[in-house]
Amino acid sequence: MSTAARHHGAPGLLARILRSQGGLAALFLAPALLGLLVFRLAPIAVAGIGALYRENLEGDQAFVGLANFASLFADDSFWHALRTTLLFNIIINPLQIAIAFGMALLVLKPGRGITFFRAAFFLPMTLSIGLTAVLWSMLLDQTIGPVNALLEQLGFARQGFFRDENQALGTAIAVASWKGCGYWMVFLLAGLFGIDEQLYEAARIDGATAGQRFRYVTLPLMRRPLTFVLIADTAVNFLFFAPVYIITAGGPNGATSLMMFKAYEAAFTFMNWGRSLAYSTVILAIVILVAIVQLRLLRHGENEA
Amino acid sequence: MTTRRDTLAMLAAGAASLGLGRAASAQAKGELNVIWQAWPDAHVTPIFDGFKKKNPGVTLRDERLPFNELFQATEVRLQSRGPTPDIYIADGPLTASYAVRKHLQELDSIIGDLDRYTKAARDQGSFRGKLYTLPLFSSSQLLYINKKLFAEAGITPPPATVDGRWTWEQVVEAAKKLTDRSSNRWGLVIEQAERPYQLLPLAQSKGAAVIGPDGLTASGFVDSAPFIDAFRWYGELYTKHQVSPPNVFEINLAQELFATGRAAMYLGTNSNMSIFGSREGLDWTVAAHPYFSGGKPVTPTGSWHVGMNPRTKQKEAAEAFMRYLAEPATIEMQARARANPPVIRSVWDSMSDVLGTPGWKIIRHELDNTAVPRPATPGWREYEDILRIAIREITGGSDPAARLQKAAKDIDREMAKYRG
Amino acid sequence: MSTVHGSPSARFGAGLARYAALIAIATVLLLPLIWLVLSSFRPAGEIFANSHQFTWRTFVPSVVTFENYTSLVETGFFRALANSLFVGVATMALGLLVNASAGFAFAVFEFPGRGLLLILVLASAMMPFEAIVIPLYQIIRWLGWVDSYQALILPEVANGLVIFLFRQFFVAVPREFYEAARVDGASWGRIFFKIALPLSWPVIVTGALMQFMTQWEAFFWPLVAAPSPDHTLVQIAITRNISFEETSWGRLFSSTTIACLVALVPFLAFQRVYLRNIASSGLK
Repeated sequence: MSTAARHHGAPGLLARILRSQGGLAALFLAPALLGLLVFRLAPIAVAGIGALYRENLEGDQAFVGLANFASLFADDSFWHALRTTLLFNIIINPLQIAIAFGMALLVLKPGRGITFFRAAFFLPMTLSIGLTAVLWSMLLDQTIGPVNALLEQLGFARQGFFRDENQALGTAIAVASWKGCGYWMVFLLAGLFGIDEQLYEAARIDGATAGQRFRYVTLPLMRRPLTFVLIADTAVNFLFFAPVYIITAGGPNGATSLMMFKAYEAAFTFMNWGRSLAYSTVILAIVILVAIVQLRLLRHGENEA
Repeated sequence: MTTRRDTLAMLAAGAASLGLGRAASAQAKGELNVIWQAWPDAHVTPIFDGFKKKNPGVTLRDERLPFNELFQATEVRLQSRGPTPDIYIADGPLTASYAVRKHLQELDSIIGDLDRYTKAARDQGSFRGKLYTLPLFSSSQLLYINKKLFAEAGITPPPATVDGRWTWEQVVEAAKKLTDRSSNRWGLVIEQAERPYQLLPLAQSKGAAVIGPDGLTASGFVDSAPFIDAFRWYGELYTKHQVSPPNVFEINLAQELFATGRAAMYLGTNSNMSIFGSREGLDWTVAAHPYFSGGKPVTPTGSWHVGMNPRTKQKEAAEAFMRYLAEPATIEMQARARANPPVIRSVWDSMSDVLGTPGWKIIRHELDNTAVPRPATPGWREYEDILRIAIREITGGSDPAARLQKAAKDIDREMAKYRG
Repeated sequence: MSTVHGSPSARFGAGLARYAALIAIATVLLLPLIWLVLSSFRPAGEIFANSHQFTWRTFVPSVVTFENYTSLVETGFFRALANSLFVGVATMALGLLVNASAGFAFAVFEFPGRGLLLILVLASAMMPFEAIVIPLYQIIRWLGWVDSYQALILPEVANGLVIFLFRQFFVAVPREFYEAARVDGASWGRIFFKIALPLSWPVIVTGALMQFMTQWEAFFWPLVAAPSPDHTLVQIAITRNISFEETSWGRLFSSTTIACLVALVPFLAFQRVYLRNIASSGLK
């Protein structure tokens, strides 16, 4: 800086660097990257390297190369967990985003009591995921829960929900969506607020139907908020496991055996950090891969708008 | 006439007593980081205050962690192998797990006179013959009876004495008559319906050993004939007789079933005496833990223990804290604040004013005669969790023999790391 | 306001359908919470007394007590609530500055490895926390921050997803917008603070909400890093009502109710900001 000040008109090296795009970027990125490096990326690197080690009982590490991964891939329960995790995510991500989008469209326009509905839609998000699990496990309990009481009142049979092999994963998806949809609604609502009313007006004058206006005005302008929500929601849902840990323990008969739960279980129940870190590394790799694909798919035409 | 040897002995004794006097008056100093469970304040604060009063030189930095992730949070701290926490609370059967992983200071030399403890409590805190964790309090089980439901069904409940202990066969007979599924009323509710703590005694009552003598082998034990027998019987409570509510695995919900009058019999821990006692309009009494006819009575026991981090930099203060926890007065304070069985023998007598009820008389008998602590294995968490899921699925209709064989294999697989 | 098309009856029908959908969704989302809130006014024995039948009694307490609320005072819950508010707001304030400038850099500057770095930033939010908690704890211990507000706040300031959120916004602003200011001689710092940041208020609001909610929900990290009574956060205080032997349902529900209502405040502020800004300036 001082160099630049002394050589008026003939910028010094530092000033040149600072004016270059890369230098400027570094300046703007520095605080965030420093934080991420120290508190996230360095621990991730330690974890990734840890996946190549096996720890003995007294904490001594022995390098085992890819042995942790090899024994993971040789284990049927890993492949089962992978299938379960992918199934869970293939259903829950589009579902949550579609519902959240619908909710955002419903509360977009002002109207009588609309603030109430906006707040109501967001409220489940204010409950932590652990308490969400505790609450729903009571509500859905077969014996003592009010939901089954309601079903019985209406003439239906009592359902197992989390305790039924065929319903458990669906129930987990429903409970996660009960909490999550209102949250993702917020980001989409912000995007919708940003769309110029005059664009709709112009489309109306051109005689576009409501469906056409949605298809040709709303959707293209919502691509960036949607990209964000898709990637963030996917990341959150791949790491989702609290209700599985608290209620189902991966069951019944493996129906809710998500990889994240297996990673947690390996660390804190089976005291096998090598296996747990291998699981976590695989999860990270999958989520990054999915995010790259999502970015690619949604990128084309990004620089138009 | 005093010989030279006597004189020397006297001198030595004098020096020792002087030394002792100094040790007692020399105050431990420092700051202790203590991990405790987040029980209500009234059950915890007096214990800490008592220590501070005796050791004004020591500051306590106590952390009261909620039960839900107490283990996980402690585990992260221990696995990062630093000097803190200096002291931490631990579930009794995890003693061996912490000990083999070098997270526990061996305590024999610090405490001395270990005979003060009841045998079950001392066994639970020991691993390979040495004491590693101090028992804080213990637990026992009672069969709670809803008197109103028994009267309505015209059945005489078992008496509140050990002699009148029912067999499981009697319990099922009565439970069938007491169950009315259409109005959501159950003959028998098991508090920890999937947990080995509560259910291992079923197998033990039939004579099964629940783990190999090496503490690391499940095959041949978890899938032995008497073990399978016991859990076939247990599964049938839910599937064949349908006298117990399916899928109630949360202790808190099970408690509510009895507390709201929807369970005629409830097998649960001693602390329910105070919980049910505070519920208005609930007419209840207690009986002794049942057993299989032809078998022997076996009851669960064990509870929370306290360990000391061997890496602590506050050795003197930490040892003072451990010695304080081993004093009868501290154990009595704990037992009076929180109604659980004391782990020091003499406290049973000093607290006879409280522990004289029929329920406590039964418990004292159980702890002296029928209580068997959970096995001392470094792989308790693995053993417990795998078996827990197997039991859960057996109550859902899985074949007990096949399911327990699978559990035994899974346990053995996870135990491999402890075999070296 | 824009002119509205369609016949009055069609408009009425559309409005009716809209409100029917709103009410249906709100019912599903709110009923469980209404049960929770009303149960927080019941004495202990009442909470599950009628839950096996579904009637008005399932919701309406027959005896109303405030004891579950008044007894919270002595449990340290309100201290925890204040801690969470402080930690949430501090993270939010620091985070916005740090993440907005990073998002701006990703959107506006060309530099080698930009794509890769963005993926790395995203990846920071995608690792299971259980895998990084031990090294993170060791770093915090090395920094001497164990049991401090720094340990709770600073690791959560830089947030990969929030950076991405800002990046998505800034990338949509035409570059000429900034270039015009450059021609006028403004430095990039000035452009960021005077032009880009004010322009990005919609993302500032959502980003702030996101960082606040992350801290509001925080449970496992605060439990590991700073669990002493002075630094206890709200979710930990709530969970203390659940113990193995006994759960204090009344206090669990009352403390949850308060925590939910407090967390609603930032959201209400969020939507007010939107309404005010849209009404006053209109959004381009």
